[in-house]
This record gives sequence, structure tokens and C-alpha cells, in this order.
Amino acid sequence: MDSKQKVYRWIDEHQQDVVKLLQELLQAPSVNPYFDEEECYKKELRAQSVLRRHLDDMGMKTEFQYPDAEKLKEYEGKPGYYADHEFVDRPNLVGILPGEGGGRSILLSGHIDVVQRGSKWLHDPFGGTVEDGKIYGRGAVDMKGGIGAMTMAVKAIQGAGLKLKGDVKIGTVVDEEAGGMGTLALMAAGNRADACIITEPTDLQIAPLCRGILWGKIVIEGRAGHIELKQGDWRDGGAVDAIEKGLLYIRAIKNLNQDWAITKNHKYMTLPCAVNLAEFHAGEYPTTFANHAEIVFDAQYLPREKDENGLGSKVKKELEDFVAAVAQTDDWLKENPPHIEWLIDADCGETLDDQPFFRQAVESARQVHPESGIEGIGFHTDMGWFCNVGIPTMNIGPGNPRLAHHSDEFVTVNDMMTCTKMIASILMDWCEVAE
Amino acid sequence: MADKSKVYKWLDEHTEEAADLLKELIKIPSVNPYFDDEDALKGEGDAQRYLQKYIENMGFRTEFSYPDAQELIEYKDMAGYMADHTFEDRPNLYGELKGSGGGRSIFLSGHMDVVQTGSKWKHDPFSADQVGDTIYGRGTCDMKGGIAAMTIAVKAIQEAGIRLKGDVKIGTVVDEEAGGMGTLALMAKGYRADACILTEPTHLKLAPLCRGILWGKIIIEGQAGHIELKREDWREGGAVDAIDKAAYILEHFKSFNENWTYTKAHKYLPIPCQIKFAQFEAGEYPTTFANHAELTFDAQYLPQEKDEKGLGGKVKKEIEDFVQAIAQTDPYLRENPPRIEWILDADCGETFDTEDFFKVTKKCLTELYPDAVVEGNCAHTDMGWFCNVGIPTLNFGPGDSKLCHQSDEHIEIPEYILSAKIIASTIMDWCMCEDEDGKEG
Repeated sequence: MDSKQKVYRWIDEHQQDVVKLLQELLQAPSVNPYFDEEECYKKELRAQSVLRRHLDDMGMKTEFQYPDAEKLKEYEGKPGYYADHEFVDRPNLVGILPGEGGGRSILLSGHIDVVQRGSKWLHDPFGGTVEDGKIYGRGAVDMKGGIGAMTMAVKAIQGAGLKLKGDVKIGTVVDEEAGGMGTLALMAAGNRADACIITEPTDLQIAPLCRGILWGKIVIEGRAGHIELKQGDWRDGGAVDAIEKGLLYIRAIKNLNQDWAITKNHKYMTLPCAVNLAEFHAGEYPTTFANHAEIVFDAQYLPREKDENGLGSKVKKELEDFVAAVAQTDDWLKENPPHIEWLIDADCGETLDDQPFFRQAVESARQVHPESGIEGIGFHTDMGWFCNVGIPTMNIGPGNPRLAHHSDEFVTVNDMMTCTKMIASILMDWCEVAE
Repeated sequence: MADKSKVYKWLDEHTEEAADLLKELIKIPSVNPYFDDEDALKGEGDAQRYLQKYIENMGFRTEFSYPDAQELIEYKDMAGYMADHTFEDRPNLYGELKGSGGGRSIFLSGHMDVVQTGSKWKHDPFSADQVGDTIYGRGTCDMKGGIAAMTIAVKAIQEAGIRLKGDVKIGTVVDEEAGGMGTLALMAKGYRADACILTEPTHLKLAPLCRGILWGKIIIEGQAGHIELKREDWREGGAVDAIDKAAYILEHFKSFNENWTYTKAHKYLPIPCQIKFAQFEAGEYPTTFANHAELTFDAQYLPQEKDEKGLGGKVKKEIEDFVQAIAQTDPYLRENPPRIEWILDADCGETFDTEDFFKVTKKCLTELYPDAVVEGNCAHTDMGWFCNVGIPTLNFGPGDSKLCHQSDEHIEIPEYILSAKIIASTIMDWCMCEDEDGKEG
């Protein structure tokens, strides 16, 4: 039996351990403290400690590293930097398993924090219940499933009695769900490798890129006035219906999206970038014309559109110009131009397909799971900083991303098993098995 | 022939007294209790007692009556009926001043309740500040100005030593601002007259009709889903953007309104009926497609469109049918049709210009105010029930309706006095006066 078969067999024989590690992680609630949740569930430290114990048992040299806004000050204005984020009891965990020498190193990374429970759960969100081959819990998909799989992949290679030439590093971060300062700190602390896998849920697809995400709010001013009465010219104080002006933007954005559908594609993305409207708020009372409208949108950008800071300012500018241009088509808006209030700029990254790691990851993963396609991630992951410092990075992980942040989030045991094997396969090919 | 100039002269010489009556009414806050405001300001009873005393001093016989949902049960589902409204210390005031006989009677009516204070006042809303010729306060326009003007008009006639042949009846009601149950109760009680002036603020225009008002909410259900991911077929649970569907519906209402421009115009209205969207609420979070959208609208209807209950049932049906027709044009909406939640149906009424009372009033108005125009009230007034029971009713009163419900609501004293003169003149011509020596004039 070749070495890979040994490793896969070990994994098959240790399915319970794969499930159990994930259960342990799910049972250590690690809700990001910037979410609205009960304090007792905001224990990133606890989950990191659970994982650290496992890594220690595997013989990894581990360490907690705490992000610190003061020390990261030089990154102000760059992705992931939040001057006001605090990290008491919120450590990044770094573990190193030195190789036998002569091989390429790899970093396996993921975020330990999860979003708030939310409502409508039929299962205990922190129970790790297994039912019909599904493991339920907040973070099962996003992304303790991935962290469990990557950890078990390393353990399986050890369990099969094999050693790798290259170093294997595990870095799990805090604060991804509220901005990404954990990963910024991880990179700023100098943790490096020749390649990186982020085990975000890709449904076992191989994702060489993620998209940047902009959240913004178009703020449109109208002018109140009695809706049942005759309104004069707005130049003489007449009412201006902000809903009507908002519709002007909805139409214009549809048109813009038609252009983006052609111009903002990527060969590894199944859908183009778009300005998607998520919220519309206007008006206060049935007898009054809305004097104010707010349209909240989510727009995506491609890694190739990043600015010199690694962020989406070019696309922001493009959208600001667009909002201003639409205003030029309307007399009222010309004199009362709407503006965009920016809410979020989550960065992105890409590993090009001419990179050796890209090709190796695809080949090794497909040995285990031939159905794995190459498909970028529509949402944000923390891969931006890894790419920024020059580490070829791929996202591969178990779980359907549509279930992330939802009630009754679950990952299947089968996907956990397959993913563990896929990652083990990549590790063995990239870092090479020592004789 | 009575000498109207004496009446006008009395009013000119007693503007302060006239203004004081209005100010006293303003200073007794009578916010409708169904509005969100301090309890201490909800004094409809106190304001009614003040006016009761005032007209008793003028020789009116008065009585209070309290609307009662149980007693009015036969009016269920009709205009103004609100099963859950209660009326503790919320009386309607009725007063009657007997004429000497042989004339036509007139009703002078208005509502004593006002809307909530609201914010952004520069003047105290209940201290009736006077700056130059302007009096500020909640209710100056809507409609204590009108109530004071009609009261002082009668007083001026009396003070000028003129006796009317027909009866003058004053009826001031509660609860207009929250549904109109006061006027329903007033009519249900059987009070009647040969004509009625409702002194809602028309800015000295003669308003022979008002429009019915419907408030409704179109509720569109979408399907939530991650906004950054590829959408699946909605039949298999894929996301459906409720904002997009709402915008689609709004676009259709443009042609609908365009059609109403032609079909729902009225010769005495400056604008046609329309469906106007006042609120658009959808979505909860930037990464999720809105799974729910609500479009709140205000639609108006004409008196000729009233249904058998005196309400807007026919127009409701018309709007509902249109929304369903739009739904038929969209595969998702066809299977997930939006629904309408009705919030309000405020009734309306109309007095034709062929009525004697219209002609008399118009003549009196034009004599004193040659620039006067006839223009229906675009909003709702309580005239519906007066018309329903067969009383020719006109809206005429001082104050700019655009200021109603706004901060720093105010009224101009000259306009207020002029309106009192016009009302007095109309009363004299309609009810007819005895000669000063006691013979017919």
C-alpha cells in the first residue's frame, strides 16, 4: 500500500476522531465579541485552547499571539486594521511541526471565531449534535469544520507513521467575522510558509480567489410635503419624493450591473461582480412624501481591482462617480446630490493558475475527489493578507457556504472525511513525504 | 334687509376678542388620545367644556353626548366606526340657538381634537403666541381657527342686533383625527339641519367636496439568500430579491396613475386621484437579499366612487385587482402574490353646485372676497356623514391646509376675521334675518 493509501485508511478508521474534534470545537462557543450575543458565548480563547491541546498532543510547538492595535499602527488604512478592536483573551494560535528538511513548507489557516447564534435553531447551536450523518452547530460550516479537517489531516499523516520534509504550520485566528485583524496580526508577526490553505467552506471546490466586498449606503435627500395636496415646483418649496429618486437609482444600477456582467467577470467565478441591493428604507408616514431614502448595497470587486493598500478604493471611486453621474440626469438631484456612506471594505486575494501550488493543490485534491472544480469564492475570506505577503494561497474546505451564518448550520461527516483526505494529499505532495 | 355692514364692523372692532377666543381654545390642548403624546395634553373634554360655556353665554342651549361603540354597532363596517375606540371625557358638543321661525336652519361643525405636538416647534405649541398678525399653535389651522371663526360669526350677528329666523346649530366633535367616530355619533344622534358648513381650513376657498383616503401596505414576500453567492432557481429555494419585485410593482403603478389622471379627475379638484407611495421598507442586512418588502401608500377616491357603505370598497378592489394583475406578469409573483394590508379608509362627500346652499355660500364669499375660488378639499374631512344623511355641506374655513399637522402651525388674523365675516354673511342669507323693527327683511 502506498503512503497515501495508508493515510486515507487511517482517516477511514478514525472517523470518530474526525467527528469528535469538530464536536469539541463546536462545544467551545467562540462568538466574535463584536456581535450581539450573550457574553458567555464569546470565548475565542476557549476554542483556541481546545485546539492548542490537540496540536500540543501532536507534538507541535504552539504559541498564542495577541493582536494589538497599537503595535499594528503602521497598517492603518490597510485591510483588517481596526484601531478600536481589543484582544483581551482573544489570541491567534500558531503551531509548528518542523519537517525533516528539504521540503516546502505549508501554512494551514482558518478563523476560530463564529457569528452570533441568531434565531430559529432546531438543534443546540453549541451542541455538536450528529444526526443522519450531519454535524450541527454554529461554525460547523464557517469554519470549525475546516479547522477540524486540516488538523486531522496532519494527525492522519502522523498516525500512518509518516513524516514530511517540509514544515507544517497551523495558524488559527480570531476576529475574522468582524474585520480580519487576526489574520493581519498573524502576517505582521512574520508567520510565513511556501504555500497556504485556508479551509473556508468551499463545498470541496478549489478556490484560488475570493472577491472583495464593499458595503455602502446611498443616501438620497428628498423634501417632505403633504401627499394628498397639490405640490408646487420644488424650486419654490414643493415636495420631492425620495422614493421616486431611489427608483431612479434602482434602474441605473440595473443598467450598471448589465455592464458589470460583461466587464467584471473572472474565469474562475461563476457569477460576475454586481451591485446588489439589500435594503431600502424610505418614508415615515402615509400622508407625507418621503424626504429621505437609504439604499444599502453589497458590491463585490475582483482581486485585480485592488488598490495600492490592497483595498477597494478604485471601485468605491467608480461607484461614487456613478452615483454622481446619475444625479446629473435629474434637476433636483443635480442640486442635491446623493452620497455614499461606506460601511465595509473587506479585501480579497488571488493565486494565479501558473503558480506551482495552484497546480499541485488541484492535482492532489482531485486524486481524492475528482469532482472538485476550480471556482473562486463569491464572498470574502481572509486570503488577502497571505497573498499580499507573497504566499500562494488556496481556499479548500468542507461545507456548503450557503449554510454559513444560518440557523441549523451543519456539515456532513462525509464531507469532513473527504476534505481531511484532500488536505492530507496536498500536504504529502507539497511538503513531500520523508523516506 | 339686515345690515350686514354692522356685523362686519363689529368684527373689525372686536378682532382682539375674536383672537382671544381662538387663543383660549389653543391653550387647552386637546390632542386626540390615539396619538402618541403626553396624557396631560389629551384634553378634548376641557376644550369642549370651554366652548360649551362660551356658547351658553351666547344663549345656546347645549348638551354633551358621548360616542359609544356599542350603541353605534349598527354602523359597524361603515365610515367612522371604530369598535375599539373609547370616549371617556371625550364628549361631542351640540348647541342650538333657536331662530324666530320661518327660516332655514344651519349646522356649523368642526372637530375639537388635534394631532400630536410633534417636534421642531419654534413657538410653544399650546401658548398661542401672537407675532404681528400671526397666531401660532397646534390646532390654529386644524381646526380651532375654524371653530372660533364660526362661533364668533354667530356672536357678531347677535352683537349687531340681528335676529335670525332659522336655527343655528353648533356641533363640535371629538376623534376626527383618528377616524371620525365623533361625527358618526353626532349624526347617529339625529341632529340635523338644512345645510352645514364645516370650517376645515380651506384658505378661504369654497370646498364642495373632499376626497376619500385609503392607506394601504403592499406586502411582498421574497426569499432570503446570500447576496454574494450564485442564486439558485427560486422553485428550489433560491433567493428572490423583494426589493427588485417591489421596484417592479412601483414601475407598473406609473401607468396606473397616468390612467387615473384622466379617469379620476374632478372639475373642482386641482389634482387627480393617485396612488402615492409614502414608505418603502425592505431588507435587514447587507449580505442578504431582502425577503420581505412593504410599500405603504396613500390613495384618494372621489365621492362618486363611494360604495354602499359610504366607503372606498370599490377602489380597494380596483387596487387589489391591479396588484394581482402585475403578479400575473412575473413567474415568481404569480405563485407568491403580494397582498395588501389596509390601514385606513377615510370617507368623503360632495355637495353639487346646483344646490341652493352652494349658490348662496358662493355669492356671500365672492361679495367679500372677489378672488375666491371653488376648490375641493384634496384630503379627508368629516363631511361624508353630513352628506350621507342628506345635509348639503360645504367646507369653508381659515388657514392653509399645508400647515396642518406641521410644526409652527399658524393662522393669520386678517384671514381669520374675513372668514368669520363670510360665515356670518352666509348664515344671514341662509337662515334669513328679521327686520330690525321685527318685520321680515
